[in-house]
Amino acid sequence: MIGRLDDELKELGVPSDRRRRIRLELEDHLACDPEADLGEPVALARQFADELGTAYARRGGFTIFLALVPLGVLFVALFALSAAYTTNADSGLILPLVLGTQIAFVGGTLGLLRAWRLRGVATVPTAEARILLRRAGLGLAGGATTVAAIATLASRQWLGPEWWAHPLAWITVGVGAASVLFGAVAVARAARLLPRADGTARDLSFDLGLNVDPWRIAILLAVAVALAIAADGAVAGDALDGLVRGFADALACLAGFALLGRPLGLRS
Amino acid sequence: MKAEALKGHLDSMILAVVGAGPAHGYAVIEQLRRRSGGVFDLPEGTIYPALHRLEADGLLTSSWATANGRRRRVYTITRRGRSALGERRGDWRLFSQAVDGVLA
Repeated sequence: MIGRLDDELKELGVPSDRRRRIRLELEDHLACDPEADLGEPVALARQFADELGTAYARRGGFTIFLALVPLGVLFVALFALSAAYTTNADSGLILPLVLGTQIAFVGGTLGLLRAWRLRGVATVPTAEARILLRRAGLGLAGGATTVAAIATLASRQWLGPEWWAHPLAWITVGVGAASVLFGAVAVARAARLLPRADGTARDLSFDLGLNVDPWRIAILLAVAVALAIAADGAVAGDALDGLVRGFADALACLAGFALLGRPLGLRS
Repeated sequence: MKAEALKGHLDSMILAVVGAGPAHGYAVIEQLRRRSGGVFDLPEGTIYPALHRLEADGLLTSSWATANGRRRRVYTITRRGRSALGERRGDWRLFSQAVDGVLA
């Protein structure tokens, strides 16, 4: 029975060190009670894959967010406190920097939300685990882009004149790279062992605990972004520019929701 | 009792058993059987995936020990596990009182 179970576990992608542990535990169990009925190897292997796959996917969602927090804090410290990073840098570098941080924030937060909503659940469908890992992967990609952009800025001496700007940038790069690596290991481990349960994934309304059409939430969010940017423009003395940028950002939010909504489990 | 009926409560019961003292898989099953007066007679293999998941979720921790020359995985409840157990006990009391009230 244990040999057959081991084959099934291998087939389902359970790592070898975990399989060895399961084997030893079941051998001990049978030594305690040689008549014990441990169940069908196929069903038991599937239960291991479902439960461990669920736990790994959930942990992936939590890990990515926690891993990106130090990068986020250092990023804010670097660019909020340092003055002139845009003056020397070419605009081609600013785009990945700004987009990278936003993508890391959105991916990490969405991963955290879904992992939090699924806490305590023994088994989730494959589709749900995939959504969690896609969100975590998006957060990781954003984090990696941000780290690469900061490293380029620092290596070309394009940061502010403060004495601490470049050392802080390299600290950010080091911490960020370690965080991305740490998160990538968690996501890779979860991706190797997905639960096999049938079923569909939930959408943004589940993440937020609301019983509302996800498109309504997206529209409300886009309006809020537009208003915030328009208000920022008005405060800066150029209301028209604020309105144009706000409208463009709101459109970008809705386009992103339409394009990535399904793969990221925002809409069904 | 059917294993399906226990499914939603298995985690709480495992946490309660391991919360009473470190235990290996076979001992957990024996305790469940004994403490339920033989009513909870689970398919024995099913306990192990739950133990591994609870450990992956940080509610249990485990380490190898040796017994009669065999390696044995012994599970211990963590601080988070104890707090989760407290919450689940509270939820269960509310739920069972409500069901009692309806069925009585």
